[in-house]
Amino acid sequence: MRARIFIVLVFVFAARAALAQELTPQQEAEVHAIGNHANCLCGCLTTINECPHPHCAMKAQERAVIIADVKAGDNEPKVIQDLVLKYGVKILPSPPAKGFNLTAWILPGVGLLGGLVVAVDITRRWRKARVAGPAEQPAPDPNLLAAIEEEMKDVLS
Amino acid sequence: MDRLGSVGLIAALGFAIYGMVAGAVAGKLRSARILKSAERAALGFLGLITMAVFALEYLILTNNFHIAYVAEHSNRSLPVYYKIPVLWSGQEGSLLFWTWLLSIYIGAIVLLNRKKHRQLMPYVISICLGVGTFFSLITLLVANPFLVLSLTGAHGLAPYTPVDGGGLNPALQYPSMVIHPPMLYLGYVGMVVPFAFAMSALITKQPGDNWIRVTRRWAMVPWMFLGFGIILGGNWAYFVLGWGGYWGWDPVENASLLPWLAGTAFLHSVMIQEKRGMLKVWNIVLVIGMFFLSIFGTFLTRSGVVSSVHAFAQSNIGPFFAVFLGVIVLFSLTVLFLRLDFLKSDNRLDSVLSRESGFLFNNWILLSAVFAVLWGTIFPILSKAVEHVTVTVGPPFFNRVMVPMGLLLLFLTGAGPLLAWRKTSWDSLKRNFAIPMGIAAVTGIILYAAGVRYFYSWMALFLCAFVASSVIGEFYKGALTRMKFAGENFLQAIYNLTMRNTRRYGGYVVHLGIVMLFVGFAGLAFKKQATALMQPGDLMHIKDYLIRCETLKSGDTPNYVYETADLSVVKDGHALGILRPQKRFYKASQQPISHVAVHSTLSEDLYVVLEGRDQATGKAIIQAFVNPLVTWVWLGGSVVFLGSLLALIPSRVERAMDEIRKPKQEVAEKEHAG
Repeated sequence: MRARIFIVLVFVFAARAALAQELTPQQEAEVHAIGNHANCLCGCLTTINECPHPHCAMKAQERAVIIADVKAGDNEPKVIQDLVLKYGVKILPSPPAKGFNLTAWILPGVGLLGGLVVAVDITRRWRKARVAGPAEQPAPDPNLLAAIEEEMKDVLS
Repeated sequence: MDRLGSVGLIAALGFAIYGMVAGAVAGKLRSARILKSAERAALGFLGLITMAVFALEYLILTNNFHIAYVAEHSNRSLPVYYKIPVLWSGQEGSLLFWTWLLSIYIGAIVLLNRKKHRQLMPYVISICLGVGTFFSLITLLVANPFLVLSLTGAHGLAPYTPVDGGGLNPALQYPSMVIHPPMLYLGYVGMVVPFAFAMSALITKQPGDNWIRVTRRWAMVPWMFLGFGIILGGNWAYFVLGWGGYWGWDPVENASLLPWLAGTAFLHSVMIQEKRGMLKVWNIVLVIGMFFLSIFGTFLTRSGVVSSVHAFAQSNIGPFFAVFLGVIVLFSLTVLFLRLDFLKSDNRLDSVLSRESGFLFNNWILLSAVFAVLWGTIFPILSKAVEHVTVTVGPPFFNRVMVPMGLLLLFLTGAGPLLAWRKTSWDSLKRNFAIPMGIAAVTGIILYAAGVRYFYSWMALFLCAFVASSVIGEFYKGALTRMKFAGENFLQAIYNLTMRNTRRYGGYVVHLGIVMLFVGFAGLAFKKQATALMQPGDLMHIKDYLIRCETLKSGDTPNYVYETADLSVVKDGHALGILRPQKRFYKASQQPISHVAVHSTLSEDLYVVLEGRDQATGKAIIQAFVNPLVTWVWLGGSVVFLGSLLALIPSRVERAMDEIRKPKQEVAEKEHAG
């Protein structure tokens, strides 16, 4: 228990120390970019940058981690990895492309291609049936033909 | 009054059950007398649910806080115009509202079809009142809005009336929120009607193709309302939620998109059935899909199975909806399976290069989009079940998957009208595509030279030019023909052309609206954002705007306290006026909300949010966004709505065709009945 408290205190002090130093414009830009690629976990269902709550403690906490990591020289993948370790994969705005989560990415494409195969197959079968022997066309309705003629006369008059 | 509401609900349930059974019996026995009785039950259902709705509205307007629903969702200082939407702001009230809209649809069907579709009507009434029975049951037994508050004391339960209510969710106190839910619900609820007509046609083995036209017309109505409701929802999110966007691929937003996409697929593929007698099974599957997805959307919003800023509080109605969804699937697939022989195609495809195949591929994209959105929406639930890990499926996923599909669909929107029914020759294809593709190519070059280099945005605008020129070309060619042969001027020719075939030209107007929507979507890639701490006199730059904080004011109203920042805006040396973003804190609900200030033009919005005060410095936190082309989204949504309305007006051609078909249809129906 003491060890845990010690770790938390070290983390809090480290974060405060990191925050105490000004960010360079480049680091500021990196922090902002990462903020677009990580969710705020306060329940707003938006990214850290888009969270609409001005005094959101969760957003502040996550930003502190990002700032600390950026100041330590970590690049974006490393910072994101750190965030995932601390908060879990739910911090990512989309599922990582591995394990079961890979299916999230693959299946829409499979569905699209599968649909294409079905659509092409349907058109081919329709065409084959037509080539083999055209379906008997019902005789056109004379009333309908008369109406079309009237309509055409009317349009072109 | 609460008793009146409860009695209304109980009696309505009785009428719904009776009407459902009577309708089915009338259909089976072909009894006009029992059908009349079922119709009266349907009208009684409408009257009783209306009574319950008015009772609840009365309780809300007169601050009857002994009713749990009123105490939870309203308060004394809430303005009257926001007390009316209290009806649909909570789970119980909105289910009653859902049931009421359903009863209005049922009443309209009964009254509009007193002399029409007599063979279909028994089962239409039975199916609609079957759905009415489910919603009445849920409203009465699981989510009753008339429950009375009580406290447990020494002598058991005692009635309790709080001094004031908890108030309406501040996010709902916005003008478009007054009409957004009714529009959306009209869309969701209305999907019952085409489903009922299609199922009835299958059950009764309706001869001819009259039933598919009726089904199509009734599908068009909820599709139009749902689309408009989605746009109003986006407008609300943009102006109220304060994150600078209008669509976040939230599960509840997705739930509304699903039946709209399925409906769009149906409204296209049904044309193949009407013109060529093809895709009959497919169209029935789409009608079932539309209805299923509308109930599925209601289930997602209300069961608490997904996290969403729009969802109602978690409740125990989920299992009931799950069972109901199962019943829908079982019933509709059984009917479909038993009537497969009735749905054989009359014709075959003449050519791959034809309007028919264009619609087929349009359906392919739309249904793939339905699958992708559905998959992304339910994936967190699956992931939790399989891996016991919570994942988020948010905008990056949907944008990556949906943007290419959207662009393909946009291309087909322009290509479809250029393809002829049955067969298009290569020569005519080249001729028809030449001008729209030429205009699109010139637009693409200009855009590239102007610095539009983000591929998807460039492609979207390129395709918008293609589709717009293809659609405008259709109007132009038609108008030229009329000018030449009928001697009309251009405007007369356009008007007469449109009114002669409202369905076709209304559809083209809808396509122009879709183009405008895509122009708006293309702007998303160029969004800019900045945040600053400001006090009077401070300046902030974003893109080519200069924002100066003039004053920071606070105030008090009976409903909320507020802070306002007066920000003067200058662009390229020209003063654009004062923007006044506001931060409100609602007293009853103890919740804050931002009211954004926006300076809109066709090219971009300057969107400013007062997020609050920085605790350390006391300065105002101002967040500013420059959102290009957003106005096109609202314009496009409105044009889609107007185009849909236009397409619903019976045209001269359609009326003439109905007159021609009528005797033949009557003979066929008589033969069928005999």
